[in-house]
Amino acid sequence: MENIITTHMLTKCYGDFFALRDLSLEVRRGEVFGLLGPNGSGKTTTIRTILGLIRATSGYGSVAGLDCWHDSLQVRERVSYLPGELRMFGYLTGYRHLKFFCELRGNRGYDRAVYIAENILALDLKKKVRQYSTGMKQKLALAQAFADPVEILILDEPTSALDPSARGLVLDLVLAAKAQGQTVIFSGHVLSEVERISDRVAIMRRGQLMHVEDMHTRRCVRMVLARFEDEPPQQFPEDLGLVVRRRDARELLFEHHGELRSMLDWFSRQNVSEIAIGTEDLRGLYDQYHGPNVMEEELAATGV
Amino acid sequence: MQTPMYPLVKRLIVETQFFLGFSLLALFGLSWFSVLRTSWAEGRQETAAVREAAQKGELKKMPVRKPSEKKEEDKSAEKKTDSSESTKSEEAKPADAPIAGETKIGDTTKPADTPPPQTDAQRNQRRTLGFYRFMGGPDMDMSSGAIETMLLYFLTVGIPIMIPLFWGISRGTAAVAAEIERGTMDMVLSRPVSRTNYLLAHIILTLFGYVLMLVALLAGNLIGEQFHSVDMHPRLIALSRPALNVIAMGLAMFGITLALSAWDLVRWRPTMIASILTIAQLVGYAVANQPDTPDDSWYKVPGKFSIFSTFYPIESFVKGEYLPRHVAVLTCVFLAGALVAIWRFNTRDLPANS
Repeated sequence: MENIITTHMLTKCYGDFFALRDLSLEVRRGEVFGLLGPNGSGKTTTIRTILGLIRATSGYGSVAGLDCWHDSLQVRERVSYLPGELRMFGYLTGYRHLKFFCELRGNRGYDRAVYIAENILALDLKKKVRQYSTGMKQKLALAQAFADPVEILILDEPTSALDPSARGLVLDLVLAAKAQGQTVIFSGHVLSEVERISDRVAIMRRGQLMHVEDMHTRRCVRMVLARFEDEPPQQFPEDLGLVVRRRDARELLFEHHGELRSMLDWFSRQNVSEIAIGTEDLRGLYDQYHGPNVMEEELAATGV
Repeated sequence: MQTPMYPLVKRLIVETQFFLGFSLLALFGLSWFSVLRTSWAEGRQETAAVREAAQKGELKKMPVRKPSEKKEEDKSAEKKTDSSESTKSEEAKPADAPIAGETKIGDTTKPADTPPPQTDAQRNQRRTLGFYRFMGGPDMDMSSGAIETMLLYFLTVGIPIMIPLFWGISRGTAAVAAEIERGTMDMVLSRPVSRTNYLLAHIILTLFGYVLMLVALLAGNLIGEQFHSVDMHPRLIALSRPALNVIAMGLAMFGITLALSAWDLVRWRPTMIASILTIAQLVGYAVANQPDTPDDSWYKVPGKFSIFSTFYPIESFVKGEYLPRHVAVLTCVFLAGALVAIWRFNTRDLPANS
């Protein structure tokens, strides 16, 4: 699949502080790309560099072959961005607000924006924006973003201020955008949301890209929890595709990549009292880079 | 795709409508007031004579004017305003010559038991004193005229200068620093809007505001003259000269503030620097223009660096010139500031928030 966004060794320094360090990332056309990481990990800096709002110290980024900094205007023609911290023009009504932003794109997408805001997100557009709650402002901005006739949607924490039902609607809108062929970059902190909609997920830490996970492959991985009545074996047949993730006395957690039938046959021949099969959520992967153990190791390394 | 400028400017007009509206109203009102004040002041010499006569106890000797005399006086006043030729003929008379049918103030040959005459000049003088007492309280000492002059200067010159300056400083800081601080810039610049066009929209809005201010200043004067009789009726072209000087002054400060704003992330800092710069230049100008200061004195030095040295609206009015050198200097300051701001804004980072 063709890459629509590419960054190569992208670095952004503020004095001695590295906001981004050697970030090489590829986003494919038409996919939903999740961006995960705690506050300060560089997600927003990455997005702003892609949009040309920040100039990289070194390295380069491109969108559809256009340089993010030098061709920023053409890049922003192709991208719709929902900022993480929303600040809107409170003196405009909802209608005027949508109208204004559509006029900046040559008056395109206004009817669609009004439809999404009124019929899907149930907003009263006659009110002035200053009368809106935080969640309502977020909905207005989302209606605008989803209505923009662009190739790429960049959503920075789009569900942070929304109620559960509105969150579901937004995730549905993301999937609808993907179905229309739009590429979506979805930055967020709610792992279950990112997991539900993303095709691939990148995990960032301290300005560096730590891991990129293909969610389709991950969804095929089974997690098997088995409790043995006797001492469990130390070795397992390689053709089963079982990898021990955790060993706790007679209880073992496996990651399974192989065939289900052969695995179940093998377990049926073992002295197993209980077995549970499920899929792994993103938490396990995320905790490998940002879990409590990692934090403790880092603190120990810095001598605190 | 070219960034459409119209929605950007329209949004800014909505944003600034109240500030701009009040500024225009104030300039219009103060400009009108300056005509009213001129109308009052033109009777000042006569009323000073009234005051002197009252102190000497001679005022009560003045005769009561009969209603027929007053009507005649009013008619002659109407003729005076309607016909320029009759005005000229009256102006040709000596200043202290009594008008036909009117008793000269302080004339002790008239009967002693009559109240003071009710001339327009006296009525205007009473209104003037009443106004200043309203501003300064009943105990205000009006004997020297210094306070009166100061108040008048503040109202008719000081505030009309300050409003364009405030407009320039506030719009300069609002263009970049305030938008970054509020976070609203992200919403606009994440759309296909070039940074240059974004700044140009702010500049257009500011210039539009200045044009309206120019119109308000001129309209206040011209409409005020229709309601208050003044000796001199300057033409629109003559009034536009000092007004242009005032506006150019504000424009220069806008350019300086815009350049400061293009560097910053918060609004208070460029506002503070621009305000201090304005006050410093005003003080420098005042120091340099102290009376009886020799030309080679160091007092003259700060005046050379003050943009207020190019601010001579009265001189421009009296000489009948646009003071092109002064207006050019002020316009160049604005253009330099705007160019620096565009360069800086196009090369800087726009962080998520400040």
